Amino acid sequence: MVVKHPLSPGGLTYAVLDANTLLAPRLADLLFDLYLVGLYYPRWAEQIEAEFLRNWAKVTQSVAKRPSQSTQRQTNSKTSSDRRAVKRLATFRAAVGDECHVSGFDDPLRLEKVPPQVDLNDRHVACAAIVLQKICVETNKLDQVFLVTKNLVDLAPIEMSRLGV
Amino acid sequence: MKPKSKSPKKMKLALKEPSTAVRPRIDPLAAVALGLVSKIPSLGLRRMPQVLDALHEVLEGSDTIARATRTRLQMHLIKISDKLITEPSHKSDDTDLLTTEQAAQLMGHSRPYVAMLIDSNKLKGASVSEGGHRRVPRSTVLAWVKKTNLKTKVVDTDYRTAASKAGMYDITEEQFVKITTKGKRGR
Repeated sequence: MVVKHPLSPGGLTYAVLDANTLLAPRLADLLFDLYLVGLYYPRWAEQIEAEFLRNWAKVTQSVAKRPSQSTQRQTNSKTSSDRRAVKRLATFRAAVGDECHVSGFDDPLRLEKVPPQVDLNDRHVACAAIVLQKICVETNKLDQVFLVTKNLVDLAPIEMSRLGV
Repeated sequence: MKPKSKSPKKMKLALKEPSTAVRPRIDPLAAVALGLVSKIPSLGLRRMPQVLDALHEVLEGSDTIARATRTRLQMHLIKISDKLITEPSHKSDDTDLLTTEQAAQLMGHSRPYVAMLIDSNKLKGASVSEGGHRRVPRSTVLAWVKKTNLKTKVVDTDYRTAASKAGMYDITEEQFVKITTKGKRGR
């Protein structure tokens, strides 16, 4: 139990990591480094992993179109690139352990609790944070759940903070 | 004859005095005495005070025999408790409902994680009461532990090497931002 934590004194600190933060490699490295030094516990969901893979494919396609980098990117076939992205996700999971995944966020009853201001495509991320927050405070009211994203506007931070995230 | 008859009485008093002085208001041996007289019909309930006194005398003496008796009794009680904890009956295995905390201890996970598994119907037979109390059958928890122990765990946690092999560092952070926010509103 972290007692003198800068983000959540007396409780544990969790953060749901959006796909865009997992995908950006340098940012993701930093986020997992911060976990390993004990700042917080990262969480995400299988749906966020799927988004990571979809966006990785878009990134590789986009980069392959650029003449300056096309040679290097084209050496990796699409499938091997995908496989390596899957491997990157596997290392994230292994670093955090079995508890890395939030579940139960796709339940329609829980999705209803997501503020309407949240973008339709990001409802699953917001719902994962709400589910995690509700369950964590049952054990310790001082636990804090944050949501880390590059897409703050679509995740309605004011409305989400009213729900404790 | 006189000295002989007096001496046992004195001994009895000497044994009784310390025991009555330390006896708590609720006598823990009373339940044992009651159990004995009810199991042995020839003693009868009227004999309970004598049985109780005898138990105190046997267990509270300061001689070697009394000390050895206490030690053996303590060990016996510990053994019974351990057996009941570690070897629950087959019947209780199947029907026993565990709290989230008990299940979390057996599964080696945190309470919120187990609560999440129950809420998302990932533990068979688990239920949530109207008051929000979660319960999960012991058999389900044991099956889950067995299943997860059998799974081969990925131990490679080197996320930097994985990114490097995927060619992720060849792409600038700017490009990632541009591609992943393409089509979104300006922010």
